[in-house]
Amino acid sequence: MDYDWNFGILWEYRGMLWQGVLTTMRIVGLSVVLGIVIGMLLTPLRMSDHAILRWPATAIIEVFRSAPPLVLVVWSYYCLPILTGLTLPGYWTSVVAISLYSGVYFAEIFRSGVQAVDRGLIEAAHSVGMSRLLILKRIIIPLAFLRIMPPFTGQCIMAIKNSVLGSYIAVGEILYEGQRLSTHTFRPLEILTFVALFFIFTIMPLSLVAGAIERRVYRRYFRR
Amino acid sequence: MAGPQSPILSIQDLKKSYGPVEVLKGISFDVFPRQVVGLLGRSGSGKSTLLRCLNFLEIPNSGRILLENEEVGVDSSQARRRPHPAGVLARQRRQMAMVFQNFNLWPHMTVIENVIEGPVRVLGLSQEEARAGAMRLLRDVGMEHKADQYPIRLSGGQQQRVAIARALAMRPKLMLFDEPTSSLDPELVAEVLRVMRDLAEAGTTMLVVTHEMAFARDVCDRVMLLHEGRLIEAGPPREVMLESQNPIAASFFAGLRGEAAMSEGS
Ligand SMILES: Nc1ncnc2c1ncn2[C@@H]1O[C@H](COP(=O)(O)OP(=O)(O)O)[C@@H](O)[C@H]1O
Ligand SMILES: [Mg+2]
Repeated sequence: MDYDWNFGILWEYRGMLWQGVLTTMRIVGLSVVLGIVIGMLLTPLRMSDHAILRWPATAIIEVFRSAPPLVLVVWSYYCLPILTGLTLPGYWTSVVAISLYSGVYFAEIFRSGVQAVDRGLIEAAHSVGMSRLLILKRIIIPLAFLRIMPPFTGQCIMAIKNSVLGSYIAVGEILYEGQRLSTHTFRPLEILTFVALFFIFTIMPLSLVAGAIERRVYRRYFRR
Repeated sequence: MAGPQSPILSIQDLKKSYGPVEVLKGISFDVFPRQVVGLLGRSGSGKSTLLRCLNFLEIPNSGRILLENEEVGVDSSQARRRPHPAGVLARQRRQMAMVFQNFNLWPHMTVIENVIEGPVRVLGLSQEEARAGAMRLLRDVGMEHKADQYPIRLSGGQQQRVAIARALAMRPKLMLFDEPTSSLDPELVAEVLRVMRDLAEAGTTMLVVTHEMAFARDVCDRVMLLHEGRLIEAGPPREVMLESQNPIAASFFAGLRGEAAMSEGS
């Protein structure tokens, strides 16, 4: 291939690219935090003994799990303002849509973690006279968390990948800025390669570190 | 040993059903201070259910459980049974600390953390106080050298000894054991029975579900035979295990009686 690579272009437009990277990181940070909050709110409802609480939570989870995240983002952007009269900027629309999408997955992950806690360990806590709140805090939540580390980190990584969906509604995150720059400079190869490498070099170390931590945790507490 | 005083634990006509199946069909017995009572019976006869009803891990359908004359779990003196507030039930539960067949040590806490969890969080002891007490208990069960290990690094016998220390740390009025050696490899059974024997000699009040016939015969002051949800025999180990004419008892203890006859014959 006879292409005259010019990576200098990245340096030339570093300001724009940096803005894109920052926006991406903000979307990821916010949607992971909000997603965890949504998950923590939905989990006890989804696990409630009362059908009045369990049903709505289950419905929300199933609905948001069944839509492609891109559809959620685009639908929220065009339809929510019409339905509610409330117009959010594209940035916030994508944060909210991605948070909800991650949140219902976090809820299911948290639930599986709580269910994986051995009943006997909870009974042992009852038999030393611990209160329900104390058992939740000292036994169920820590053990559930150790158990769900792999799906939990997987879902965080999915939130990073989903952050690019904002580009579809013109949110200036790294993919959108990259595309804009490539048409402006006629240098898509350099710029889009940079965008791809940005994600690969963010996600790969994250999943390697997460995997190492998971193995350590497993060896320490769970493996004979 | 007959109890001259009033019983620590008094069970009156306890019944428990799962759906249409009645698992406990009216159980009554007393446990007196410093007594070691063995609860024997075939698998499925309701031994675990009975033990779990005592500290309300299962809620009995009717009957009364009195711990030093205080009703456990509910107040049934009125026409309607009223559950105790959670705090009262929690206190009653720790006064009858339970040792489980599967140890149930918390895997995310070290040995010493397992033992001090209750004393610190429930009894409100300081860390130092609780640790000092826990180290004494761990020494008693021969586990002080593993204080900072995680449970997964211990053998089953070691885990069960730690579980006993954890139960003792709550200073219970009596100890409940649900087949404490049944999930252990045979070579590890003796070390746990040794600890239980020491406890018995030190005057700990114990209610023990077990299949260890020699332990029941030698250590228990009294044994009870549970069959299909009823206590069909109760009394001193020799009488129940070797001499009872009840056909169910005779068949349940047939192996033991055979051995006894052999050793007398030789
Ligand atoms: N949670 C439960 N639901 C329904 N049946 C149960 C439950 N727990 C125990 N049982 C039944 O109660 C009977 C007594 O069980 P259990 O108390 O565990 O016996 P044991 O400890 O003497 O082996 C068994 O037939 C068992 O199947
Ligand atoms: Mg049992």
